[in-house]
Amino acid sequence: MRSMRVPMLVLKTWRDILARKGQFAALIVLVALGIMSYVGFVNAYRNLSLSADNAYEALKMADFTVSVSGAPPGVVAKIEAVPGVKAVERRLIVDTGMDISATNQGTVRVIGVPVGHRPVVNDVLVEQGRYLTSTDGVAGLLHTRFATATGHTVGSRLSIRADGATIDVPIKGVVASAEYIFPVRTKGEIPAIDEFTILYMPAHEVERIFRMQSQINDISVLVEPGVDPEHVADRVEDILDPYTVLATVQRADQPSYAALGEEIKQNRSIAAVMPLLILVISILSLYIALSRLVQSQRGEIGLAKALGYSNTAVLGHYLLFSVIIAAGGAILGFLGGWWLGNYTTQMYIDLLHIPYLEKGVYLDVILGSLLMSGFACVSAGIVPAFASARIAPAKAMHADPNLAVKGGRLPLIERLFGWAMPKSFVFRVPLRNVFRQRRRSAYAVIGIAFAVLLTLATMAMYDSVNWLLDDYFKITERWDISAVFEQPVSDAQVSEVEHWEGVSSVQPALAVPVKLINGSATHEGAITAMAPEATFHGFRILEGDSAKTAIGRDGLMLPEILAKKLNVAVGDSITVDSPYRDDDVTLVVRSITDEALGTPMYTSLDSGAELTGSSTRQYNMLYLNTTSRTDEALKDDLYDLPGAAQVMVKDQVVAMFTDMMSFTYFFFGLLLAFGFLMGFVVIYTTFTANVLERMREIATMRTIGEDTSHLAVMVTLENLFLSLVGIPLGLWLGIRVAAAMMDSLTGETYNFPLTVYPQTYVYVIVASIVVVLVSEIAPIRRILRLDLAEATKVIE
Amino acid sequence: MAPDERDDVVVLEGASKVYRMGEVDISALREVDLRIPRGEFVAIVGPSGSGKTTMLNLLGGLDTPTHGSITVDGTDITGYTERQLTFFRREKIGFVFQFFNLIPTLTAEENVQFAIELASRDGVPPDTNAAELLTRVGLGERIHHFPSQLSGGEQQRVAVARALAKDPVLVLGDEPTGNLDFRTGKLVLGALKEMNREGKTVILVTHNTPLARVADRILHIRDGQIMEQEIVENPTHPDDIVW
Repeated sequence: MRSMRVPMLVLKTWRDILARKGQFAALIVLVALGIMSYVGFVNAYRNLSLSADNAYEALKMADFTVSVSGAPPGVVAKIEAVPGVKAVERRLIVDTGMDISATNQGTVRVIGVPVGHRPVVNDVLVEQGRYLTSTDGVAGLLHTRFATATGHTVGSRLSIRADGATIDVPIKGVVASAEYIFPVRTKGEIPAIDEFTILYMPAHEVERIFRMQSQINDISVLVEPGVDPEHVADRVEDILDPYTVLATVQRADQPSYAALGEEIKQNRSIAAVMPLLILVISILSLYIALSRLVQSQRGEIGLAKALGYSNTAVLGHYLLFSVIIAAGGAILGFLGGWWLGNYTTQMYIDLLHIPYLEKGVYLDVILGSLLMSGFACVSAGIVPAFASARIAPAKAMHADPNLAVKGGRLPLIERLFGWAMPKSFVFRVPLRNVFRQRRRSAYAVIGIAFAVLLTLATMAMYDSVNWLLDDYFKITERWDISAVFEQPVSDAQVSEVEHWEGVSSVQPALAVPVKLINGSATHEGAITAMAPEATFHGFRILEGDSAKTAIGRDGLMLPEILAKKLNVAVGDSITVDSPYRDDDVTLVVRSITDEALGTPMYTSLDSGAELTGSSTRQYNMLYLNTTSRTDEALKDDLYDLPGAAQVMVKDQVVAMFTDMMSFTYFFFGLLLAFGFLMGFVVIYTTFTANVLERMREIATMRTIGEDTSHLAVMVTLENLFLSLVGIPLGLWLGIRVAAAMMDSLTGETYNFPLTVYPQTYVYVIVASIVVVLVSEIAPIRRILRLDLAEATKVIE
Repeated sequence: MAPDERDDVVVLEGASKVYRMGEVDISALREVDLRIPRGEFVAIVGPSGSGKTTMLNLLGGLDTPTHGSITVDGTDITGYTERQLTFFRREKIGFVFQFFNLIPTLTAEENVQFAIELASRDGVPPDTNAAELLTRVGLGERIHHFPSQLSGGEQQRVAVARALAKDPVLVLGDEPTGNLDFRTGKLVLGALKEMNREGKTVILVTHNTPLARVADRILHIRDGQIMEQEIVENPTHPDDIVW
């Protein structure tokens, strides 16, 4: 029986791989990292997006809700009859105080829900315990995030304030909700997980304990598929008009939906830019490294042709190289990416308590990344092999002229500044190599620049978030404690608080929910009315009057992002629709401001009073600056004031913000790890190829008496000279990429300026040099282990 | 002069080299005794695998013997470390390789200057300069050319000039004409012969017997042993060689 024989070129492929296993492993890692990053981050974004959609779908998230000051439950029948309405849920919602601990108070949103059946709109997912029954009496379902943060569970009790009394509500279940994935009351609010929560109670019990019998104040509506919710909302508003419509909120403007939407948008921006960049860099680096590998085998290509192998056979041989690298990298990359996507999604789901988890396999993502890297591998293998195969065998067996100095002329820089070259060869040889081996130098500079780019771009995003924490809350938000009230705060109360021990100043303000209208452009949010001399918020004016002048002129101060959204400029008038007035108010835009967080709008206290329909100035917010007394004690006192809804100590806001950003940090951390690892691999493959290409040159130097320490110094110096070009280039590119990413992250929630701290440049430069030096270790070890007798006889 | 008082540049005593290839020991050189007086031109000939390159590598400090001793210019290099061998090569040996082995990024002059600088690093700089040396090997007009702009013969002459640059005690040529055509091969041999005339000891490894006749003595090597030593009464002038 004849035994099967492996074709010689296939055997050669295998032996070549074994002989250069370090280099091949690095190339496979290069492909794998690119694919893993791309697949992982895009999968995470898609999973998150799908999980959120699933939650909205399964829990019947309302298409819009209408808040009224009070309406009879029977009105629902009329709304159900509106064409296009699929389901309506009537609710009574009351925000009130609660005890978080013996000394700590918070705000609870009590929502009355049906007990005979589950809500047909805005349902909840019971995670622990059970849903409410008609026999429960005073009982509640507590929001899962608050329960987790404060240790509440089924069987424990939550003390809430109702009509001047404190009621202990036994917890029957812990629930997740689609409309409170981010437990916030207003758009752009930072979630205070352990200070604000949602408690679902039987509707009749809410009516009873708050003495609001037979009243509803919230109508949640689901519309039929394909029906315009805005159109239906108009009809519903008409029906509810007699009951004073306070606000109509479409799903897109619903606070939690909008916040999660921002998160998903950020996620998509990150997934779209950085991983794709990492993949592209991996592909470019792979192309360079693989084509250099094939170029270094020019002699063998010539030999194979001389022996009679056809061009096709030679090309097939190098294609096999590429296929092995592409397949190895793709398998590892896909498995890693799939794991990373699922891990990241799980992290997100755990953090946000999104009730439904979707972990998908997205063929377009897999195929896209495979095609890109497969194409790069194949072309990197084929193009140089094809170029070599076209050359006559005898010529191919000679050294590649591309590796020698092009044109035989000294580079211009040497001709001009050759006189300034250091005298010692230890310096002169590496410096000359940089200029005379331009292609090799270009490869190395590109590799170093890529590594620096990836590291700096991610670190710049870190810095930008850190800036918000370090500087924004010190420079822009200048208060120590803020308090929001559900009923007007009088001048006397302001004066009282001013005299509290530990309070250095109190600045009252008025927040009014409004809808800004300019033609078809609208925006719903809150305007803060304040005194011209108020200092609790620092402004960066981009255009128009200073804050003092703008407020003094009863004008409107608008963040740049809203000015663009509403298409208004300084001097333009804008219509303001307030729920407290039947007619609209017109305000003149006096300043365009730069706001990093949210879209706060400011006007004067007189304009604020006008918006509320009052003839006198009113306040519902206090900003305190404090001295000696602890903020916690003051917070407790503020909660004791009538109508106190939310009291925030700035340190806690910073902590909440940090908590909210924890996933962003995790995401950035992953990207940084990828960027750094990719940078290391790129530099390693570049430098290894640099040394491999000149083994005989190095061996010759050693043979004629150059010692290894000098050679190591020469290689190091050459790489450092290349770094002097590559690092600044990478820093420049990194800033451009980071700026593009920050732009893509900018929205109504965040408008971070790109910030790069000086120390970040130092870290990136030092880290890059360390990577350069570490990447040299393997090539220098090869130099030390060179068999001089062999290496000097090798035909290049 | 008695044999032990001769000014021998090279003394090999019982020099052996055994390579271990997996489970098998291969003796590349077997207990070779050899003395080469200063100023002699020696050719080593033999078929492939006979041990001639191994002998050259031992003499040049590129390899160390398994047994026996090697003394070059009065210095026993047998037990030298890698670092000591580097200094030894730098000070005493000039190499001319079959494949020229010039540094592609350096011009002809810079390739030679590199060797001069190396030689100057630990002692007195050689009393020469790169341009002069290149002029001596007939490349005075090509000193600023890069290796890729030179023919094979020209490259090899740059290599000869580089070998001369540090004023070596011993010049070792490993098939220096093996990669050259007939005419340029003769030019290179002429350059080596000129070196020898100026007092340098030259050892030339070749498998080409007619070419070996430029030497004063021919050592025939087979199976790692010197089988025959032939004194050439009238060495052939390189211009008269035919092969």
